[in-house]
Amino acid sequence: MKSTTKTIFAAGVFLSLVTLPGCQTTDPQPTTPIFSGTKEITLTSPLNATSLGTASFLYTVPAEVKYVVFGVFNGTIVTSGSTITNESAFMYGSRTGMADFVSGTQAKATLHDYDASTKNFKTPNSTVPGGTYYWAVWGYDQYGNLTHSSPQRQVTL
Amino acid sequence: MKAVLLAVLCAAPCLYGAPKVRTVAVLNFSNTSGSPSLDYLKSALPESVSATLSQNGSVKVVERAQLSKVLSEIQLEQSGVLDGGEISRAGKLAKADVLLVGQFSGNPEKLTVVLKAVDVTSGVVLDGRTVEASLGDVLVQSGAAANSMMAIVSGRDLGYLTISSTPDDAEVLLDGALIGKTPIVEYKVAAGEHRIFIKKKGFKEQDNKIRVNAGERKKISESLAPARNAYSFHLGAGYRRFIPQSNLLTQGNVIVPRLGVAFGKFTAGAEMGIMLDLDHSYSYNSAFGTAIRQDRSYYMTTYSLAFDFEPFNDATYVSPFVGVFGGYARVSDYRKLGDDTDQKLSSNDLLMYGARAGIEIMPKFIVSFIIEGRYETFNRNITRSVSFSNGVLGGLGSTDTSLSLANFSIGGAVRFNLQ
Repeated sequence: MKSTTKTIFAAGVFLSLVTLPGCQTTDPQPTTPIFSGTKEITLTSPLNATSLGTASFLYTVPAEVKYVVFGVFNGTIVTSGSTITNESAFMYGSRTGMADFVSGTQAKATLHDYDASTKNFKTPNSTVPGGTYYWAVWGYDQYGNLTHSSPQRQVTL
Repeated sequence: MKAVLLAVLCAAPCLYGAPKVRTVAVLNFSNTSGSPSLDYLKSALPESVSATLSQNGSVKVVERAQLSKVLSEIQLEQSGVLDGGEISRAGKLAKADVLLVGQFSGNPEKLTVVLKAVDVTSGVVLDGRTVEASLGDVLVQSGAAANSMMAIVSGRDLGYLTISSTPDDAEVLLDGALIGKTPIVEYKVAAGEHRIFIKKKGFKEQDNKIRVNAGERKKISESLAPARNAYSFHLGAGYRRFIPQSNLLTQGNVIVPRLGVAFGKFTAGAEMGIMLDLDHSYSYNSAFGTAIRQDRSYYMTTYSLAFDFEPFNDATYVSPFVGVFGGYARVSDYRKLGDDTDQKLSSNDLLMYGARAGIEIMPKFIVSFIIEGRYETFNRNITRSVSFSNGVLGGLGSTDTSLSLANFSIGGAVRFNLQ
């Protein structure tokens, strides 16, 4: 009986040593909003530097945000003041007002090409090739003022 | 022979119908003031009256030098009271139809002179006047009063004047002579043109030329308006409708508190203008398929000095004015972010100036009303920043334009005139 107890205790200690370090492997997520001075939009998933797989992008937008933009870039998002300066890296996205846009959830299949000439998204859905991208979400109030933004995360599609 | 007869026949009616010109002797006045220092007026007054009457064509005046012998024989001036015998005797000695006698009392500040015209034959007092004047005015006033008595003395056609005023107790001068205070009833005057001057302290003077026909009973009733003091202060508040010249601005409302001082035809004032809301909102097409409205307003506060000229400031009911003004203005641009919050975008410090014209209604009353129009401009334009959509790339872009705040405005005010 005593040897059985010792065996169980030893097994427990072994399992703890093996499994607990695995619980602490999540890297710290970026916290700096892409537009300084704006209030935060919380990103949920996918986590930074992970793969989207077949899931959708998930985020949470405060109720006071009236207009939302979801953007996917092929490089790190760079801003100056309230404007994105590396427009050439802006590849895909969606926004409030597009027919298939749902705030808080963005499926890969409902992304649209960014059109630099109109500074807006094209209507047809895009076929997004696999690769490493950066994504972020930003929002406007009812007067068109940029008021909220999220940090950017790296994602593999 | 026939010609002589015809001339006599023609001349006879004229000679027969010509009224006899009466001769008036002005005797020395008596001094009842009790002040020997005024004794010189006993002869000075009648000398002045006599000189005045000598210019009146309706009577003959006995030369005062010729009266000295009469006066030395009868000491009329001693008592000031004449009985029938003395009058008759004095009249014969002076070869006059009418004696003008008088007496004075009071002090140099206020002398009272009583004049009487007495018919030598009947001893009847034909007319009388009382003059109240200071020593400086008493000679002129007495002469004018005596002159006005000659209408009756001369036997010319008479008319009657009844003069009233609101308020009453106003002094009335007839042809320069004080004849009493209103109301004056059936005052006898010679037919012809006369000048009536009515005055009362605190009220505007009335000066009228009238004509009285023989036998006419003319009534004159004057409503005396309050006189405007030499200096008066006023407080007021007004409203102006701001009509901008720029089509980027809408019309606005301005509240204007004001205080000032009026002196004669000029008014100097200080006023503050509070622009309640000068809307310059606009809309732009957003990246989200909707037009977004930017609620924008200018709020302007001005502090200015104004100088007005009122050419007819004696007017009772309506007084037009023109004026200029200038001062400091602060203009702030706000964007409305919500029902309760405004975001201040910019402020401008400007110099403003302009001109105005209008009318003051009932300017002599405690409360008067002003209707005016004005043109206002500034030393420079302000910069208006207008936002435009930057697509989905981020925040709004903006462009700057030069904006003139020059404006016309029309408005009204109520003014409390403090004495």
